[in-house]
Amino acid sequence: MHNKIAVVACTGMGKALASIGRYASIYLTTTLLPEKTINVCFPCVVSEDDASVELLKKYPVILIDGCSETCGKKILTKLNSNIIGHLKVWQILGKNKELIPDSRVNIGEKGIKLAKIVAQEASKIINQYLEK
Amino acid sequence: MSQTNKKVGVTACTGINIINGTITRMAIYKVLEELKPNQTVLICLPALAAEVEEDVEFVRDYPSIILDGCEKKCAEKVFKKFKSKIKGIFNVSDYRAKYPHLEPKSIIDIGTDGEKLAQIIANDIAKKVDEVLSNA
Repeated sequence: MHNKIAVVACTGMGKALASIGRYASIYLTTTLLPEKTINVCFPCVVSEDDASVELLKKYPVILIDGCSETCGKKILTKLNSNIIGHLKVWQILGKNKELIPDSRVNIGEKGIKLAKIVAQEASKIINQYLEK
Repeated sequence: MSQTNKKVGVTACTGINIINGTITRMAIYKVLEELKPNQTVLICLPALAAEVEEDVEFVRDYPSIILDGCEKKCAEKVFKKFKSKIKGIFNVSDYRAKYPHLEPKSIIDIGTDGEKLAQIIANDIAKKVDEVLSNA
């Protein structure tokens, strides 16, 4: 049985929603569930860094994609990762329309609230999975 | 200047587990939004790696400048897979060594020193953008 979950955020730069995903993954792995998660650097994965790719083979994965290009999903599918949850930030914003982030550089207070909601949704999936 | 060299692609590694990755993002945003908004285009590294068509086509047709965060050089490795025209490679690690008194605060918030460091790097990249365009 697994005792940790790998967290991967797309870390895109073009849209504010990718900045939300980045913040959410850091908040999840450092504050919400630091002992149950490990943040895996997506740029390291796409550059085929052995240690990072190994983490994705070892642990189930929570994936956070910022936009509908779903770059994270495309790459992790190629790697046959065990994705137990795929959070789509644009869909979560759709359910929380008042939380529009300020910008891609500075997501602002509303952006931080949205990022924390994303992280909380991820933490529910992780806790359910680990309790199985 | 030829048509294909009117713009320069810029990219950041955007690594997530070290402060240097956040510095790369902030430096590239400064280039894109403050220093060279009309001369640069963002190449989103995850999108390039996922073979999003517009990113792949851009790096094949236009010159690019890369900013990596650490010695793993992830952005450089990805760009080299795509027959890109790399004209400049920068690394935050080199700047951390050169400016040890500037200590960024955290991955989430790089703080005043981190902003200063990002600005120094952005200024150097902006100079490189001018150089690339003037040699086109």
